[in-house]
Amino acid sequence: MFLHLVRRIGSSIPTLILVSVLIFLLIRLVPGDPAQLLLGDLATEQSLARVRQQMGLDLSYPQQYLIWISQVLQGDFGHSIQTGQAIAPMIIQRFGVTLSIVLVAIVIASLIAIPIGMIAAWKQNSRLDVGLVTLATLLLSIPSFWMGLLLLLLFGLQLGWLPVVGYVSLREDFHTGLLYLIMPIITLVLVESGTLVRMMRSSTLEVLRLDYISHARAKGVGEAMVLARHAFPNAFGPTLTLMGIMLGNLLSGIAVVETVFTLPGLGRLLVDGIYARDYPVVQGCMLFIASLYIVVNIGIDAIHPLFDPRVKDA
Amino acid sequence: MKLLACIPLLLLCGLTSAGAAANDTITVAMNADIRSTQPGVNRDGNTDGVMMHIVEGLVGYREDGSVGPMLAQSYEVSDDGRTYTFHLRQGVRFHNGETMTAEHVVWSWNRWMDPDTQWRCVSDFDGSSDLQVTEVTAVDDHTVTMTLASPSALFLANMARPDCGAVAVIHPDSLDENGAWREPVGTGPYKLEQWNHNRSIILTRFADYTSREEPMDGYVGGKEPRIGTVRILVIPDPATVVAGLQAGNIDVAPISATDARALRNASGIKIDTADNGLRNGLLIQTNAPPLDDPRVRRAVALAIDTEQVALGSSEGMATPSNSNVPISSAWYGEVQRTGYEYDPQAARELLAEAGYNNEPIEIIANQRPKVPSYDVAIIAQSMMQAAGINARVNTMEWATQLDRYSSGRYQMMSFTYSARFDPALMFEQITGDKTQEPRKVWDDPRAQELIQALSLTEDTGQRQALVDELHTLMIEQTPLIFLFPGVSIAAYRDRVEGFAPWFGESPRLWNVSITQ
Amino acid sequence: MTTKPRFALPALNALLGSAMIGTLVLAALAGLLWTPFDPLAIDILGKLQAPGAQHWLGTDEFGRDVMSRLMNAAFTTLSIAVLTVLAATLTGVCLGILSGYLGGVVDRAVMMITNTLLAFPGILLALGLLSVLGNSRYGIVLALGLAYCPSVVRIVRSTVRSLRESDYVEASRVMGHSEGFILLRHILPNCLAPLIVLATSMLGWVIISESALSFLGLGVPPPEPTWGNMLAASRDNLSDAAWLAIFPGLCISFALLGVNLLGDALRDLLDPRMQR
Repeated sequence: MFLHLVRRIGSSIPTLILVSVLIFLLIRLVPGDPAQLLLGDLATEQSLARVRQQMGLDLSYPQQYLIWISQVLQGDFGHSIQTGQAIAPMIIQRFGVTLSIVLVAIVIASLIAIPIGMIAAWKQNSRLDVGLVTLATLLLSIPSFWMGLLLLLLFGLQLGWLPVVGYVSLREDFHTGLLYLIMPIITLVLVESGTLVRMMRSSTLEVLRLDYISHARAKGVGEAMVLARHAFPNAFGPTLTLMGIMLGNLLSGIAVVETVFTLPGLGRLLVDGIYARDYPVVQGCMLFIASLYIVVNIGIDAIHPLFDPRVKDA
Repeated sequence: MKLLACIPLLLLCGLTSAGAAANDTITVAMNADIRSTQPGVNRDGNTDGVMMHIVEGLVGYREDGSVGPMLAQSYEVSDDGRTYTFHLRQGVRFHNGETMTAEHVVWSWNRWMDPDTQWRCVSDFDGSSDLQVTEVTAVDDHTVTMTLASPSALFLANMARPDCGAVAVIHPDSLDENGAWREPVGTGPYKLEQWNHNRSIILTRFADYTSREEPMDGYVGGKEPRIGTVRILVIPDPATVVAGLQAGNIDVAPISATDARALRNASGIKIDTADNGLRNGLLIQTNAPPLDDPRVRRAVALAIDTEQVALGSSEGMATPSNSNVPISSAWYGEVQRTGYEYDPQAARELLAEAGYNNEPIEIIANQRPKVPSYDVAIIAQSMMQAAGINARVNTMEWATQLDRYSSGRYQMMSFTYSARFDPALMFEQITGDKTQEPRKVWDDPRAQELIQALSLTEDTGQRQALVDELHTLMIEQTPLIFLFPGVSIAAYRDRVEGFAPWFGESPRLWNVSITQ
Repeated sequence: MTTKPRFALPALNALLGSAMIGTLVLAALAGLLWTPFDPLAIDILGKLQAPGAQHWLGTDEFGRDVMSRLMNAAFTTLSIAVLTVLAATLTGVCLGILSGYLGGVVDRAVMMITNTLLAFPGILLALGLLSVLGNSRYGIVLALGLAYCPSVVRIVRSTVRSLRESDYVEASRVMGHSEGFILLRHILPNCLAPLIVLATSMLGWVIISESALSFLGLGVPPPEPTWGNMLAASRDNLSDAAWLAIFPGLCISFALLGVNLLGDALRDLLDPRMQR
């Protein structure tokens, strides 16, 4: 098991190197010059040359890449072209915002969705099941950014219960901070629950058809027990994988939700970095996200066997 | 916007922390952090705006874009136009209590011109352009002379530029023992108290500030720090700023036209506007068909209703003008008022005459929130179509558009020029040899001659005549179509007194007070 | 517990889903020929009109008719979605078969590319390709196609690998059938069911991604309308003109719901594990 993990981590290193090269090249392929953006329409050839030299952009690509990657290996992600601030602390701070929302949302969503999915499967084809599945399908069909806008319209503008935009760090003022997080979290919970309910339902259905469940039932085990002790552990595997994928997607991909609610998260940092052609910021964010993605996947794979006997046997 | 008002006041407290309404504190919103505290080195518009509270130069810009004395009591120019003698004001103190002398002026100058400082304006004074300062001498404690290689009308205009930090006179204490930048120890009405990266900049009153006698005028004239603490909050999101204004946690904020419309009827909030030095317009690439034909360009200009574009893309707040010289400038006169008369019929006739055959014309625009680029393009497109021009808007990211701008790869482009104070610099922005500088829009030898003359001539009357001729020539050749100057829109709480938006885009907080 | 299989639900889903998608496709095609107003024609004086008799779904911040824009956007969005899914599936099938069938170095190379693409946020990929290709809908098709191709590769590869060694493929080989014949006759048909299911879900993902990209300002550039960039533009006037945020979103959700219902029905019909 441990060896397997080590091998997984080892095999992800070439992927990361490839990712870093691709990011480096791709952002430079995009038209637009960071020096020009910094200086705007007042730029002259001399001032552009000066800024490029200051930022090391006058070096050849291989040189730039080697400098960057050797800094990264020493834990230094460099400084933002736009603001001159160190990037590593910036990523960590922004990631904190994103992580707090995503983690809370996924935990709440799974607490709601897993029992509902199991109940729907258990009552397959009943009115309850059809109702729950329809609701889940509806939720699944609402993109997060529209859900966010609708919540904004309702709770922010019509009812005035919650602040419309902005962000207050929880550390600064816990209660106020919480108010700003409610709507983004509800948005994600609603959107992700749909997927989770359906996943949990279908994997429970599959498990409920297996012989050992019939055996358990034949032995007179109560339905609640059958669901909780026998069906859940085996039905949870696929849902867990899905949650892993979701986590990875959300950590990198909630830029849209962050945009709707103007949250200073990692996704916004990346998108703003792209707009500003802030090469070091984009490279840092992307490398961080890619590593995160890989780590999450390895983590999920590592705990997956606990929930799926078939994988364990294999 | 009534809806936003429902947000409990409480919600913004976290943002401004306790005591926002203190009598002696004013809270100002700014959309992005400053780049550094070193004026004219690592800077942008916000940085300049903040630095102008902390440091001052020998001269500075007045409200109308002309240059006036600041730390100099007065100055005179020698007959050959090469030697400027500055008589310093006496008793001016730095923030550390020391009295300013001519030695400080010379020291500061040398520090800025040192290549290691990486001052952005070195090339404007070292002869890289036409202007070269050969010698700076402290004649006595209160007199400094600066000698030029050849006369230039742009010397003072460059000395006053906010993006050069107005060639700030600073105390050597601004540097640490290794000569690295520490913090600005200047002579301005406010001192830098604290800079919390990405969050706030705190300025405090400089109690020993001695004001000039004249009334406040642009970046010069009388300045009084009437407020104990100026807290500048970095708030990137405009909607948060609006909410903060309504909740009373923010006293002063520059806002957008859309937000101004929303805040129009909010209680306790005043909104003022002033035309500023930005100029919005449509650039034309004059070296490719069909727009290389001046008749086609003129037809485009006649097809566009300047007034409608100006009003339609600014919530009715902008003043239409086809001039490169902004309306509030001292150089804006009768001649600058003349522009293009909206006449789609005449446009059609000109197009027919030029043999325009429905060739597509692409207008590049971007959707940055701060500039009206996209709105202008969309409205202009529909007007051009109405006059029979096959116009099409192509929206790009700003970075991509800027790339096209500097390489000259476009047909038309909805663009905003940043502010320049002197007319020679304004026209220099748009004029030049396209083969040397592809970003230049107006490639015309006569125009370049006129600008050359403008930068050498000191006499105001002669300069105005040159500016007028440039305007007429520009309208005639139509290398680009200016539509309206930018508008500084500021919202402020009614407890703020003496505040007004102005020609410069950044708020000025001297001579501003808080009433209760 | 015995529940009678009720085939009514998948059938109903299929019917409803196809009807919804059909409606959108019709609206999109109709929008090519006729819209109530010119979707690009501005009317400054008539801006931000609430839905009413003249403009059924209101007008936007430039006085453009929202309904006409939605109809135009439907074609853009749907054509992008279909093209993207086609591109992703075709590339994915080829790579998946190569990788699963040949194994070895080819397999490892394909998996490496797949994993790299998976570790790559789609936004940058899209922006990069968009800028390189010029900001057009084909850039989006290519970018999203690349982003979704790995899931196709994975499914095809695993099916191929499990079938390659299976008894009847072996049998077929023994009978002297060529590898190409085996591929076409035995392996591809077995990939078909999961592929159809995947392609349907992909249709939904692409619609979401395309709107999300447009929402971030990285998609189809305005003034050409898409549901996503209309939603993005609505944010400026959220407090005055809620309809600008509601209708494009409704369209997206309507399309997604149709795709999801159809996908469910297909899954029930095609996925062997779901059959009883």
